Amino acid sequence: MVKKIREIARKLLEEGKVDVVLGYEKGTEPLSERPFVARTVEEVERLTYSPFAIQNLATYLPRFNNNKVAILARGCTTRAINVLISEGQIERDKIYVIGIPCNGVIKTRELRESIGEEIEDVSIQNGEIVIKTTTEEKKVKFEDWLNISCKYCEYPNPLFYDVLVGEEVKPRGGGYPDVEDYEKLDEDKRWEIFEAEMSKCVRCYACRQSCPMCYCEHCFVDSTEPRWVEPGFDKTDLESWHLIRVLHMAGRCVDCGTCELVCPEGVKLLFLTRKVARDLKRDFDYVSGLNPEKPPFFGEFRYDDKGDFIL
Amino acid sequence: MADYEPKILTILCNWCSYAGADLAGTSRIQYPSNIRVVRVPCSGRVNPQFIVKALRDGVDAVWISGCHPGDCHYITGNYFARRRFYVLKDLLEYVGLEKGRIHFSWVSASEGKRFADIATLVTEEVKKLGPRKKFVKRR
Repeated sequence: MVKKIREIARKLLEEGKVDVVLGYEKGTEPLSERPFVARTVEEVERLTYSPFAIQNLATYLPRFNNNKVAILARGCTTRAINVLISEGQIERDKIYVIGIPCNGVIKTRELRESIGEEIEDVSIQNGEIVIKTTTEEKKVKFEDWLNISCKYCEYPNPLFYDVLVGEEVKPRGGGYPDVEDYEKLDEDKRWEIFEAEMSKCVRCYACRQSCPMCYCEHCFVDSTEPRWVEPGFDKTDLESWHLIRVLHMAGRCVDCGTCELVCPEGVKLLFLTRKVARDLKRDFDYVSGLNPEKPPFFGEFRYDDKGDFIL
Repeated sequence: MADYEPKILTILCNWCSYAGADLAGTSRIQYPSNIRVVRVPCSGRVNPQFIVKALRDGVDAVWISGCHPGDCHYITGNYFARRRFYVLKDLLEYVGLEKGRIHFSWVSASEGKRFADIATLVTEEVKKLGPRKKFVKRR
């Protein structure tokens, strides 16, 4: 797979079809793969791909608006591209999509923490992740360490592509059992969990920086007049930040899970974004990023929208 | 909590609900004085961020009222608002904020009585809940 990706990338760069190739390269330690921009044919050799590549690459597309870009795209990446097109941020014909059917990405930070030792090498064999540490060799199940969105992913295959690498995979599906479980808890318990999660936040804004939908030049959280979120670590400010962030994501979030995966403090964020996604699907039959022609969720309405909560 | 008097941020649209409140006043209909009215051009003007910020800043509850569907002065403003409020209300209740801290209603300019009734209803419900313990900023 990696060989095929490099081959395609090299050809594109050599023929001058694209200026840059957005992909992944090996991180500084095993079990990490970071975004990488290949600009020359020599740099193509650094490109790689594995389920440890957690970042949704669509995040970088608006920054390359003056270039022709090739991008490695999973299902969620293509959905993010669709949303960005519908919001007028990028143009489809400037992007060359190298589609990758995806079996899900791994919660790399959590996995690394559970190992607790220095990891020397990682490989994936027959649905197991084999981790070589300095002292022993550990095997864990691939499925156990899947990102929660990937576990129930309905669009693992790219929705569109210019070239596809590998075979299409079967969607796992499965709806939103995590959200439903949370809903079953009683009110005070829910608030307790929510508050505990949010108070872990250190306001590094990694979730915002990594999110393909967060392209605003001036984020509400940085606004001083009005001051939506005050500086400091008061619980209500951390909660406000996350609540409003989720509201901004409503109908736009493509459920790639990057925000939660990159969080250095392990704050659970997907139970919020997935809750909104579930509501929109159930009550409005709206799934984000399926059609670039469709207006954003809050940019349209239906006369028979749900209104029974209004007196 | 007999002497508990909540503060309820009330956002009214200029064309229907604000005029409805006016009618309630000129008709001398009594309603609780717990509501604090902010006038906006349209319920579509209300950003969900306003509500989150108001709660964080310490109001006990928020009540938003606009024109009935189809009556909007700007033709469709309240339809857009309806979607936003739906998502906001569901999200806040999902994370565990009590039901009854946010209220929405449609009140037209001719419904002075209805305005007073809803103001009473909202105030009573919030009084029952008591002072807010969740989402309170330490000062």
